[in-house]
Amino acid sequence: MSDGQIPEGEQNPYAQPTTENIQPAPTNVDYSAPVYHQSQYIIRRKVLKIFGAAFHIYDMAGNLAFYSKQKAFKLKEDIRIYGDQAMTSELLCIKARGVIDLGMTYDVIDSTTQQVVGSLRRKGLKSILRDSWTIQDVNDQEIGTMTEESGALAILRRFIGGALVQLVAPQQFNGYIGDVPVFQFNQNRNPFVQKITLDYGPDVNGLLDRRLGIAAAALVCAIEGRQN
Amino acid sequence: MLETACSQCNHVWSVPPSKKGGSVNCPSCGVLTELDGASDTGWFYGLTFGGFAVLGLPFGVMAVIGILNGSMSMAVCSGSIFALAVLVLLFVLFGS
Repeated sequence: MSDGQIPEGEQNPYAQPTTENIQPAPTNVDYSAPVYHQSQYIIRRKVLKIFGAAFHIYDMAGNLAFYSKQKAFKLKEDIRIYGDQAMTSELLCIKARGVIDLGMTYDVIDSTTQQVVGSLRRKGLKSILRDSWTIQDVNDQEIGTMTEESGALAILRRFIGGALVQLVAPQQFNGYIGDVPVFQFNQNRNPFVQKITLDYGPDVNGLLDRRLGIAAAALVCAIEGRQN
Repeated sequence: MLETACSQCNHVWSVPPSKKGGSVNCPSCGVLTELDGASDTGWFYGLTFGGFAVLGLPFGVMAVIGILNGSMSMAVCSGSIFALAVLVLLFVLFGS
């Protein structure tokens, strides 16, 4: 054997890892499970929570589908979505890219595969009068939008007061991929307990990555709910 | 464009400036990589130090004036508020 050669049967310790050698992290999450493909959910904000925020996401049968927790005392918003309330199976991670949430972009990461799924960007100036978000792919290209319905009611909510208008005309968000409607979020009339019905029924062609849809709902509850 | 390196395979690649503070997957090995900083660093530091200069610093000056003039009550009150402002500043800067 000449100098510099690696003995047979041994691996080169300085070899660069190749894409083929790296296996994705093992996941117990079954994305074909019915819990991911229900057309309707109800998201309910935990009322007695002093620091941070927490949300329960139920399916229409009333079973807990997801549990979401927003970390307190974090400069950059950090919201996690779990498969259970004990927080043993983290499914999604939503992280802000900055600190000041006017016009902030939130990356949505699949915690089980550690893959960035896409991002959601709050349109800062437009949202002063009417909440507007863009749904972006991995390369930050806009693929869809999420907007508060009825500009007039949105302005009323800001100037008269959220609680009063919420009783009469609860907030509603419409989501589109391109021009095709894919979801609708309807807030309840109770101004004290934030509860939102998530309806992915319009997405008959499966255009929306449901992980982005669930993340959008959590963000609406956490970010818009805090402003209310 | 921002240059970033993968922590696992050391692959270096460029990402758009809008991704600063976010997360990207390495195009070579797929490992999730956090991009340092925040997308609004300038605004953040501007508001933080600006707010401290407006709301905290005057109390520090008042505390010094109180000490120089022998007015202990003014010095203690202003000094306490200034100390609180410094704590908040430190928490904002390093707490997260």
